[in-house]
Amino acid sequence: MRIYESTFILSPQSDDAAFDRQIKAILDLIARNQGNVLHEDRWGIRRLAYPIKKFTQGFYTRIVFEGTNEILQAMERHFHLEEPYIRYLTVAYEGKIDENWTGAKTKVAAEPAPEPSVAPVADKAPSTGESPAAGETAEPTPAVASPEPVAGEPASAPDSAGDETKSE
Amino acid sequence: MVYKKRRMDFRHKRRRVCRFCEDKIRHIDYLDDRMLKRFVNERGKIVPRRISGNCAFHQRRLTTAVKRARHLAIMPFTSEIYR
Repeated sequence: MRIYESTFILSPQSDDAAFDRQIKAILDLIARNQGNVLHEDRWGIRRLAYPIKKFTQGFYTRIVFEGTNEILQAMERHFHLEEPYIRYLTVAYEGKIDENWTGAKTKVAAEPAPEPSVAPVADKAPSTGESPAAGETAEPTPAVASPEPVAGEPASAPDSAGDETKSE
Repeated sequence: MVYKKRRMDFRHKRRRVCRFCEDKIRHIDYLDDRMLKRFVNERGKIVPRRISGNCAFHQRRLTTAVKRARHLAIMPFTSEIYR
């Protein structure tokens, strides 16, 4: 029995019960065949990076489970044939499972647009003085091009997140 | 007379350490688009190793992660919207 991680996308429907049913179908399939679901993670509806089957959103779910390859084959067949599953990906689970394992992943919340939620706005910076050290920014360098609404300074450099000493 | 003028090789000036090696991260999560976006340019293309500074091991892992994320529509294949 190996540990796998499967992420799949359901087509967006107005009905929560339908999502429930479709996810349960997979979980039952695993349980019925002596598999073992270790973790279930429902992300909810999220915008797709590109349209799939004309949909622009989908309901993402991720499960980590232990199973045999017969289970895998059954799952893939199910995903492939049934209509609501518009995308799926099953991989061997990477990562250690020990007693501290929670199963959670660094997961972005189901937000439609990527927003730089980490960088505090310049004038409202908490007084702990975020490290203004140049080049030490933890922010992504390719332009997370958010026009700083309040700062009013021309965002000359891509690493404008480091310029927080200039408050007021 | 032919004399060769060597232009300075600016390429290997900064010996940046691979970001993942530094933090001792082995597993690159293909579901973490925020992190993956750092290694992809504005058009959605994966940034080459000489720019990103990654080591070969992590660059390969990163590439598979980005490709998986693209499959799951977490990242775009191309994002050439404005031209």
